Amino acid sequence: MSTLVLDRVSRWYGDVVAVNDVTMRFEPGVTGLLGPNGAGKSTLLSLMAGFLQPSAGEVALDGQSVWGHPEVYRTLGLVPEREAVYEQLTGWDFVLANAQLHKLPNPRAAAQHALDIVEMTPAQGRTIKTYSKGMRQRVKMASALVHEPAVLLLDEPFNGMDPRQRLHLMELLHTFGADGRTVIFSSHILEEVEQVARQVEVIVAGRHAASGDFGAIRRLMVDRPNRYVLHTSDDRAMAALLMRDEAIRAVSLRPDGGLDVEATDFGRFAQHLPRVAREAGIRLRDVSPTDESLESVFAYLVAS
Amino acid sequence: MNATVMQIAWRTVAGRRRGLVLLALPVLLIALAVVVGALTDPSVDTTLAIVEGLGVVVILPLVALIATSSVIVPELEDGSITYLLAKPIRRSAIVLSKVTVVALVTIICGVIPIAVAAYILEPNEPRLVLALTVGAFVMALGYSALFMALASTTKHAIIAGIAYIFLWEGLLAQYMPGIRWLSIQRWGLKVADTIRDISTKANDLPLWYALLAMAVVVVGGVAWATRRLARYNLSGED
Repeated sequence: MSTLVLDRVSRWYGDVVAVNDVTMRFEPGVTGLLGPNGAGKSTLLSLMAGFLQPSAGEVALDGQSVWGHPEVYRTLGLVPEREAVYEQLTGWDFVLANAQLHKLPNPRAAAQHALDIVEMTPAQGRTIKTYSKGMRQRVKMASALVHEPAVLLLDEPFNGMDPRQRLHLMELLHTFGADGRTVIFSSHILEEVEQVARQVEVIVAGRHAASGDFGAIRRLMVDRPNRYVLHTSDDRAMAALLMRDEAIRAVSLRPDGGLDVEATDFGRFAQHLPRVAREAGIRLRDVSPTDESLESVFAYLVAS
Repeated sequence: MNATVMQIAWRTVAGRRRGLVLLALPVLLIALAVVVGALTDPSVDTTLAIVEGLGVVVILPLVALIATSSVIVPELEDGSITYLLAKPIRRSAIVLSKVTVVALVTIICGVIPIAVAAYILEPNEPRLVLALTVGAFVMALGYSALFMALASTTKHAIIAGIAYIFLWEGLLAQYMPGIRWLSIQRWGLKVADTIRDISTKANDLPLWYALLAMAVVVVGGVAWATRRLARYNLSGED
């Protein structure tokens, strides 16, 4: 059981602040690091992995600073986002080399065990050059698992995986978390995170925007005001009907036809709208959300 | 040093097409020696023109540079060095292992072919063969450490290395004699010249200086690369 602690960590490059005064604590179990692209997730993971010196603050693994202390890699495993590996080696040679670099007592058994876990045994004799993206990802996983680390860091591990591989990796992360390992992975996809992680940390623009179990984060994201554009056969009548509902906060007529609607309760709005329209005999021609992009969700989180 | 790091480094050199270029250069040198040796009765001057002028001055540093470009440059660029760095191994052990592999490749594809070519041309001049071999050996260590330091410092290490070999040691040194104080080639030739007078390049450097300077480059290069590697920054794109 290991704990990774970020204490008021900042990292800047010249004038650009990539990570801004982040304090977090990662306990055993699976934690998802959620944020839009460019939010600083990779920078944060690099700081946690000891591959980047904090400009201020400290990252500590069980009380030991990770920067400049290669010993921490005995308890830390890292799956980087970048695909590059020693691709002229076979999968087996690569994972075995990782086991040997860890100076494990029985590197061959450790390598075999790691390759078994990620189900890469059938392809372990081929050179990595010939692997698909998903296979590379799994062989990278195996290389990070050979020493059975108490803390596992994964940078966008689901990128480029097909649904089956994705499911398999999710199960794996689940198992690791249940085994008492501290698993931290980054992702910019909410659905991915909530399927695996019990704990979610949201990063937006280098800042720690929100923290909690996935239910709480989900609610924060879903229960925000939603904006829609409607095109109906009778906009004015529809506007009047909608305003009677508690889930609607504002309706306005667009100058070029159509309605801008702001709903406070997405679920209720979604159920309510078709019924109201049918009862009034109004035809819905188009219903489209205007701010469903993840960025706007994150922007809302930062503001709240 | 770390056996696994060396093993991976060795396989990166041997497993790439660059490995063939590494073989082509020494083969060219030995073939030239065979042809010249068969067609003429080479003088010491001819031998020096081929073995020193082509082998020691051009092929040896090129081999060291090509070896460096396979052993360290790509993995710093694509980030696969992460797999070595995320291990409880001293950074100095990683650098030393890599420098050792570069030096070994340079000895196999540079120093030994120089010895062979010199022997083919001057079988009756063992001292000349020895002088060129020892000089080349010392230079192999110097170039390996220098290029490792360059590779750990700049993304343009190969261009910097070529500029060092051909502009600094090659061209500029002809017009600015002071450069001999700052030239691995001249230090190595001084060592060779001490064993047997080769006198192709006026070499008034003190031997102690040549040896000391070479030692500083080797130790300093390894120390510098270690320092740089300890600060290797993984996150490029976020």
